[in-house]
Amino acid sequence: MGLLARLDRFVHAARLDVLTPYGRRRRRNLRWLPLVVIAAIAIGYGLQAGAARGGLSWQTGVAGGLVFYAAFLAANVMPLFGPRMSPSDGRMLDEREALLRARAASLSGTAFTILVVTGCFYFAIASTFDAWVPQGPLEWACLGVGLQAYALVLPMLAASWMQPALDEEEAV
Amino acid sequence: MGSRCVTARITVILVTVCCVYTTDCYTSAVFNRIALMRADRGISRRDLAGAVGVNPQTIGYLERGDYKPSLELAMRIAGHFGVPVEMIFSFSPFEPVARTLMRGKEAA
Repeated sequence: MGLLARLDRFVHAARLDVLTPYGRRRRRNLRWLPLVVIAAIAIGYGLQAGAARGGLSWQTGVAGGLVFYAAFLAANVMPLFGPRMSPSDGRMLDEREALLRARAASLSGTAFTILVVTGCFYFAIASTFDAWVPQGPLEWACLGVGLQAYALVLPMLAASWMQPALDEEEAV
Repeated sequence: MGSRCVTARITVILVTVCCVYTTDCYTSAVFNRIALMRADRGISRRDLAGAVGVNPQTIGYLERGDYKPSLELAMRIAGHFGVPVEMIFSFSPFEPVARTLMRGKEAA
């Protein structure tokens, strides 16, 4: 058996094929889990930044980093199990799903824009009040990673709340 | 007092934005007989979904009145059952089947 075949068998045995574009996934409304991810991103970032500035122990900083990157990973994987927002599972979006995606993207886009604009104004005046501002490449890079995670999770969160609950027959 | 007022206003704005985005206040309800027609013909949701080109979940949402179809989808569903579109979709609730049967029996 070749290496590629072995890798295929491993992926199938470990059930990792559920993460591939053609994997069959059980989709459902994820109404609370994205909120946990959003909170974990913020908390992990805060702990990391606090430790980097010497306010917290390095162990706390490592724990914060683990929480942050675990939440980022979850933000990347979670959309595969929430409401369908893009063609997947070998099927195109139908008209209801396309409408749901449009409304969820509109709402989450508005929320994201408000978040970013508020952040920009905050950074503009924070130094005046000697308030916290990201410093150094690591903090800025993590801020970007965190915003990317929010951009991934917010549309799914909005769609999960807009879409009525699925019954057992439908949650496939 | 001032900060509470600002917080209250921000909350009202956010709630209003969420309501506008999440509710469908400008259109009336559309009632349908899809479940009845489907049961009558012995067709599963999956079969009907495949025939009209949507996902089975969408048929479930249609049957429960959680989603209003486009004219194209409504006509495809009506075409699949071979009936006029107004026999399946209506702006007013349909008469229960039991009452229709009783009326038919009384008329006979």
